[in-house]
Amino acid sequence: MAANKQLLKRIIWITCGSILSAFALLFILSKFISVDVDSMGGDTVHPPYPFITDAEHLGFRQHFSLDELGQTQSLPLADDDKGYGSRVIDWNSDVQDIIEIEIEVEEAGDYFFGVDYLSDGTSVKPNEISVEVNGIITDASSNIRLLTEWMLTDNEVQFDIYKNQVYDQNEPVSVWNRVLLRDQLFLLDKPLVFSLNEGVNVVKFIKEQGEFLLGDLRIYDANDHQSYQDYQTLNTGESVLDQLIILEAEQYTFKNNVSIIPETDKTPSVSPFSSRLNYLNIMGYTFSEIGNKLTYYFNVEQDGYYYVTLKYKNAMFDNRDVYRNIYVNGVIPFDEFHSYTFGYTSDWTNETLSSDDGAYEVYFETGLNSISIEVDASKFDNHYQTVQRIIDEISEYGIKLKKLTGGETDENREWNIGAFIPETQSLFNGWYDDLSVVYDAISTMSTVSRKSTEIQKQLELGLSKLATLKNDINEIPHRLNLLSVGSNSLSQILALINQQMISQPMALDKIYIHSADAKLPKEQVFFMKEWIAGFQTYQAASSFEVSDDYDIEVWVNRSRYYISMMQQMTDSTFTKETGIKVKYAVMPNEQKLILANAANTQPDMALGVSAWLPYELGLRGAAANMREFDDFNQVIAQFMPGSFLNMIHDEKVFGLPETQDFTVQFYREDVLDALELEVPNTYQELISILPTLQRYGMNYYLPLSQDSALKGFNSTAPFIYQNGSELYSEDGFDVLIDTPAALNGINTMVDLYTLYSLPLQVPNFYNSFRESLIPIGVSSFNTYVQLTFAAPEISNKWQIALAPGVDDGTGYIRRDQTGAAQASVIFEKSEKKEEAWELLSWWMSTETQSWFIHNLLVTYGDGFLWNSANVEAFKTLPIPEEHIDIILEQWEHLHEVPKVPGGYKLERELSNIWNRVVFDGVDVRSAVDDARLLIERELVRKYQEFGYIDGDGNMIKPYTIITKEEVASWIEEG
Amino acid sequence: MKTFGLKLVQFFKPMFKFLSKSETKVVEFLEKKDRTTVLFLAPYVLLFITFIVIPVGLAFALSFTYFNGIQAPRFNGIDNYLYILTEDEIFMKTILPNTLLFSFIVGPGGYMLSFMLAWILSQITPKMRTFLALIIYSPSMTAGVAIAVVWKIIFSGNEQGLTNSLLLRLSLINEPLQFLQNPDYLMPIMILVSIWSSMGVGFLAILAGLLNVNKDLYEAAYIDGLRNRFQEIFYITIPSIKKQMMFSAVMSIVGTFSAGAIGVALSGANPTPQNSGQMIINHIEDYGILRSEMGVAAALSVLLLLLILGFSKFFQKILKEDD
Repeated sequence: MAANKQLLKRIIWITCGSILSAFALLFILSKFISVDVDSMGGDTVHPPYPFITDAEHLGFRQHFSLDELGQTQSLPLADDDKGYGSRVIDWNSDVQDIIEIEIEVEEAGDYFFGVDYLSDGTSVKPNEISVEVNGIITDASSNIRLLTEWMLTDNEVQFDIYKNQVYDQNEPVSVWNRVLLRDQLFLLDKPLVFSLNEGVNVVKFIKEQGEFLLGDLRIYDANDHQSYQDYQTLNTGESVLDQLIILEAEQYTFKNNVSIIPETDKTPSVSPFSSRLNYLNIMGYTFSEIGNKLTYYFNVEQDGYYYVTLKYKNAMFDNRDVYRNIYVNGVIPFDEFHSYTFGYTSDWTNETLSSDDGAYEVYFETGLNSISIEVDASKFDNHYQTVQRIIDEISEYGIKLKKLTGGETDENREWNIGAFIPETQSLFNGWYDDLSVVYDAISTMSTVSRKSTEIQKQLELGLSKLATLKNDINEIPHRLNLLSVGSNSLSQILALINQQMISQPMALDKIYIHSADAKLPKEQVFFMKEWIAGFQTYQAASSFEVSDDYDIEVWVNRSRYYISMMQQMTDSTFTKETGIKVKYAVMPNEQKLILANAANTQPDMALGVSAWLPYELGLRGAAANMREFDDFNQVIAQFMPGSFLNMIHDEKVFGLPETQDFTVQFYREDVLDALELEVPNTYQELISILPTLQRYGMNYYLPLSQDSALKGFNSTAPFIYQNGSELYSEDGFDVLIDTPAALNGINTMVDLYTLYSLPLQVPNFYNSFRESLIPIGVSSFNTYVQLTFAAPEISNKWQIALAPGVDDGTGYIRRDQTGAAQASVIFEKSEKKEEAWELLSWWMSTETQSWFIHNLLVTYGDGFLWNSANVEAFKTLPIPEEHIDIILEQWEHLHEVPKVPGGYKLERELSNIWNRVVFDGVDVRSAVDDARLLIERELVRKYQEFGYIDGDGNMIKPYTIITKEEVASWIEEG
Repeated sequence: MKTFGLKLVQFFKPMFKFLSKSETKVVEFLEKKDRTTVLFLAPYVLLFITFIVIPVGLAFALSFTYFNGIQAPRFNGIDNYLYILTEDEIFMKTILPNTLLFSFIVGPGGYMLSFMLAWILSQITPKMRTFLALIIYSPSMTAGVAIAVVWKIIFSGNEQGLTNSLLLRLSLINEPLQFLQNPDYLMPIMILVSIWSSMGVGFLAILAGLLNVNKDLYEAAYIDGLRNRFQEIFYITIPSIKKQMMFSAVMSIVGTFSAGAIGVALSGANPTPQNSGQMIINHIEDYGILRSEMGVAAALSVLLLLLILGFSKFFQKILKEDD
């Protein structure tokens, strides 16, 4: 026993000791050994611009030169061909949106269309065209995207203070592309097929979006294809010897989507790597959206056949293959390179493109060549469409069911669904069978066949739900949570599956073009090296220095993502032009500004603060009056005049709006169509659609139904403005909530809840909207972002419209809404006020704001929508044009509540009026009268505090309230 | 190996010697003039002064000034107190009654519940006791806002709210009740939630006290003619754990008077609808942060301090009279 104990003790000692000494050894080693890896790239080159490949897609039949066609037909040909070589169409906004071309085809048949185009804009929105052939236009042939190619700016590698490599901006490249027209999603297995007759065919190109140059047209035989065997016979050449071309993935020549972003992988297995610096050394999993393509140009020294090897990692989705199309010199050389499979691997792996019979050999001629890697999901093509169809049918069925049950939730009620919706059983059986087919097909698409993938698991879940539903269709009304309601319902699971199917993430570190005998660098370093790198990284993590050399300090109430970008933009232009050095710092809490000001450690300027703060600071002398600065009137011309009202005190303006919220009506097109309802324009119309909505257990949402019991100005003030009343008298001493117009507004506000039963509390409008419990409602920017990016199952099923308002008797509808978001403020105590203003006017200029919008999207992806208060800049946001038009029109109705000292009392009492009438049944008139008394008492006290009224209640000086019209008149003065 | 160890000890010996020498010196130094006492008290006194005495003193000083948080404070006598007591239309009408009502129900209610639960727990086996004590204690460890998230779902004002859904299912109501917006419901819910989360340190103290009561006392008492458990609690248990009960009482008074976050967290904003759940703490926050009237806020805090002090003294009197 004792001996055992001794042994155990010894074992423990030895284990602990050896672990400790191993760590000590590593620690010591890490001080001396460098595990850094230099970049192995440098083989990527840039082709001369403008560049067009002369390689031809398969099955080429005929070439239609616009230049030649233009001699007999009237085509808007441009003189400047941007290096194309013959005349082309410069399709800018001056040219008509529809261009008709007649082409003469030698042989009838099914063809692919190929077009040459050059994208010349800086917009991140893709160019879109629709194509009509002989009067036929299909869904697939509308909104075809012609993608813009982007290249890295030619900057030296730079690092920020945290040792992160600064991500370079990408510039659009004016390069001629030759593409086959594909479906909008780039999902289909083949390009779009058009049937052409022998002889003259009329092809209509319709420009939907963007500005670009359109070159010649080509047609290709849709039935032609080429296998690897055919390919080998095409070129006479030998397999090369002793050749190795290394392309670093992050050193791409072009990418066709700005959201493919290089990332940092902290391991010496990839290059370049340094334990002290965070290099952007791989193309990360953002390379996942179908149709996205990375192109690499390189020089080949010797003609012949080469192997192609990709060093990749595919570990985002467990056990799932991903697919890529491989283009050589702009074309897919043979069928096997279409939808090439890359298996699941969590380690960096070299995959030499090969079949079971050996590696594919690709022919390269001496000189400039290119290879492109394109994300592909065409194997999911049918499955995606099946699932999408089921989603649509479920949503349609859900509405039908709702029309039948009227949203009835009584569990004891029994239904005979078959009698009312006879197709139910066959519909559910059909879905079950279709999904089973999808399931079987997808099961064969995992890397290790006996393990299942996430898609499979989700499908299993969906199938089991469907089985429960179809086995007893009369229970469906009680099992809506399985079918279409809630985050675990069938329709949401299916939406997730579809999102996953077309997401094909794969990380790339390097591409090798090499001879069979070339020795490739090792894919994985020795594990000790990884450990040492880990040690060194850990030690280096905490050391960074902050520069103290700056002229103005700006505190920003935003995350580090935004701030590092602002810093970069400012350094590269503003500081360069003016010599003023700026330091941005993260401000986690606005309250700090007040404390810092009291302690005399305030910054020169603050950005991203709440819109109410500039007024509160200004009223107490802490904020600078911006009207004193040069060009104030020109600067504010870029904003909506109604957005300043809450930052003005005594004719002084203490802040500029930085972002701007909007309040619009969101509605479910599918639901309203099914119920045959119109989107209401006035409260009268709103009330008239309520009975229908409520009969089906649905309702309407207004900001008044928000979660918080305190109803802010954003939900109460619009009712009063829309009825044509102001909130304060011109001298600011009276509140006008008891004028007939204001009382009308307040009556509407409470009647909607007391008489017409709007929902009193909606914890989350976005959720209720998705579940079509509340298919229509008034909400703001936040909801817009959520619905755009986080509601895949209802994408394309909702729209926005102007918020409802009040007809002023002449047919004009007043739709006033507030829209305060974030603002900026310059501090009175600052010694660099002029410089700060210069920075602010640079920052809020249309140019900078558009650039910022662009940079955020380019760097961080689609979700980073910046709702700039600068109207012109806002227009460049990549959201549908019709949405922008509606938002801009709604902004015309922007009416912010002016601030007076003690104005918070009015906000609270308006909320209390609503609360008292709705919950306590108090008469509106008497609630308003009580409130008015309280508000005016508080106003008097506050006016005394700030010296507008003396101790006896006599006016010393009037308190001027600036209206929207007056702000507009400042702008006109210039 | 052994010799190596010895060598190591030899190597470090001078250092040990030096250390022990200096240690005796330090001890000599400290033993003069009660320096040890000073040394041992110093950390506490320093912290107490920095974090309690100075802020309280400052609040007291600020309560006699006009201070908007931005400009320098300006002395204005007892204006703030006069304003609160005579002009502020809601302080006397709703804030003070709310605070007292809340405190009188949650304080004694929670206190009695603590005692009862602790007593029940003291009767069962240790393993189960630890387990249940942890469960009962855990709500008080959760921050107010986190609690509100859970209770907001329970009392949500739409059909999906747990309570509403249950009531609708039982056909007790026809449409959802607005628990968190309707002034009639807010206060009872605040009280319920606060009692639920009031089994804090006081509860643990009582439990510890109960477990340490000398068992001989009970036997002796039964010999002397004790007849039932109730008498046992009354004559033996309570007198034996008076100190712990005192501690628990003070904790619960301070706790309930300075509570207030719960109403704001439940209703979503300060002020609560029609001030129905407004307490002194919310009122302080309202003046200090929302209205930028730090002077008034400071005066309110002083009043709250006095209120708490008064009640603690009162309870001390009740519980201490035998000693």
